[in-house]
Amino acid sequence: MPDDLRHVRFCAWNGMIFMFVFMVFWGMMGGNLPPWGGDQPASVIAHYFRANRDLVRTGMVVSMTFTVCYAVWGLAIGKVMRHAAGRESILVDLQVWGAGLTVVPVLVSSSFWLAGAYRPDTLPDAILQLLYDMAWLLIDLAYSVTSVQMIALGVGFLQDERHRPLMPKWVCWYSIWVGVMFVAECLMPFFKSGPFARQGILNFWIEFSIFFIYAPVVTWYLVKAIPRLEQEAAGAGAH
Amino acid sequence: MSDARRLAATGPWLALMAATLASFAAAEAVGAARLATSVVMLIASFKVRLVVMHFMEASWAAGPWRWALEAWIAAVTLLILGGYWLTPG
Amino acid sequence: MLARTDEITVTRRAALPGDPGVWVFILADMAAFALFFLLFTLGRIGAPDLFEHGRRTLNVGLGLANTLILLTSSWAMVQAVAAARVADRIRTVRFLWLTLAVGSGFAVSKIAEYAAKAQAGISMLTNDFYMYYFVLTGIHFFHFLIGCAAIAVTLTKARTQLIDGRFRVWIESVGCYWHMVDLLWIMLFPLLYLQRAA
Repeated sequence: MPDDLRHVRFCAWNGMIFMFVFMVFWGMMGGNLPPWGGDQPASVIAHYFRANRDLVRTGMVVSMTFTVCYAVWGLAIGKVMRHAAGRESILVDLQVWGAGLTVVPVLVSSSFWLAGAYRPDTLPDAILQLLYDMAWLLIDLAYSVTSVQMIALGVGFLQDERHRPLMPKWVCWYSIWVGVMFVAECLMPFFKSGPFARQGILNFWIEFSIFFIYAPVVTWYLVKAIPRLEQEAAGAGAH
Repeated sequence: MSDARRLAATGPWLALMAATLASFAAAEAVGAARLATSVVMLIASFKVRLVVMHFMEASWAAGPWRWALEAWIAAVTLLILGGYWLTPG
Repeated sequence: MLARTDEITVTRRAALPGDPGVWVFILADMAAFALFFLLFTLGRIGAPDLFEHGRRTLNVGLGLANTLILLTSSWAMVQAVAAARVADRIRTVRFLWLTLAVGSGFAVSKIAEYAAKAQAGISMLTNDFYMYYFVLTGIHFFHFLIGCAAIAVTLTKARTQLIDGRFRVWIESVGCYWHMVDLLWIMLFPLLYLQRAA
């Protein structure tokens, strides 16, 4: 039975929606770009919540609403990957589940930031700092869920037998590399300052940058793959 | 399989082992720390190049990958040596 | 036989061995380590006495042994790839085993080093020098372990599958990754262990 590729294009673009929302609403409005350092006193974090409560609330509300776009995107990737890795390949499932489950830590950690902005005046500084810490510890250490998606994506599309693969080999390898690089986030809870802390050059700037490159690149080739698959289906149908 | 091919890797390997021992000796023995360390880093650079050219077979290739590898070796050597010489004390 | 060797030689001229995509992985990893080298260098500029003090506590003998081990393991890998290119299954398997066997010495040595530090009460949280020492060698060790897994997979393939063009691309890719692990240590060893303060 031919694969139903209707609506897949829309789902594929969800990746870009997620990235945009994340950068603007979670990152800039939520006060996470870059994050407050682990070495900052509680008073600094508390002040941020108190002075920017509505900004943070808005940022997190929009973030949480659109977090699901990441899962939608993953499903679109899965639909296309089936034509590269094979319909029954577990790699397809791993990618889809990895993308889907990534939604959970992002949603939950966003709710912690939101909680901090809900009644910041009555909460003590230390509690506000705790909420901020919890959010970051969760979002960073949930990395392996996303790594599963990224590695499965890379390995899955590498199975493509086409002369011109649906997803270029370099994208597959880049995806695998990012998935593996995320392991460095394991260092983050041990440091409050320096390159390996949550605000550090490695664990924030590098890790988040390579992730933010990955999504648009994959989306680009995903969207280009869909008309190719439609052509292949039309060609097969003609016989 | 051809002896030439086998020897093609063994020559560089011997050079690498010798260079390693030489740099170790230089690091421990030579008086002036700055000179010793510089020699050690340059030998390391040379060793990396041997691995890239002969083990990774980049000597066969032209193109962007080869130049990326060469650039990496140069950049890393420069930054480590430069940083070393800029260190106070 | 001669004609086939020539054919292999000709195709080698065009590109680097292995899957072209794997070079993205290798170069990205090398870039990451270049950044680590930079961070260490900056850290050292900021605290030269601390770093020298820390450096003196490192086991240079083990570091040296590690270098010699990885170089030899890399040599064995080259032999394995060469054997695969002439479809010599037995030789390929033999040299892959040798690669792993020699390489495992690195793991033994590394664990011994870490254990000694742990016994002395030193961890990556002790100070900035040890932070870099443990993180850099630790991340490198992680790469080493991935390499070992890849070589183990290659061994299984070599024993059970056709030594054909597809396998050759695979073993060349794994080989290049392994050489990367080697060359990163070639820089790490003098960076951490041998930079004597003036």
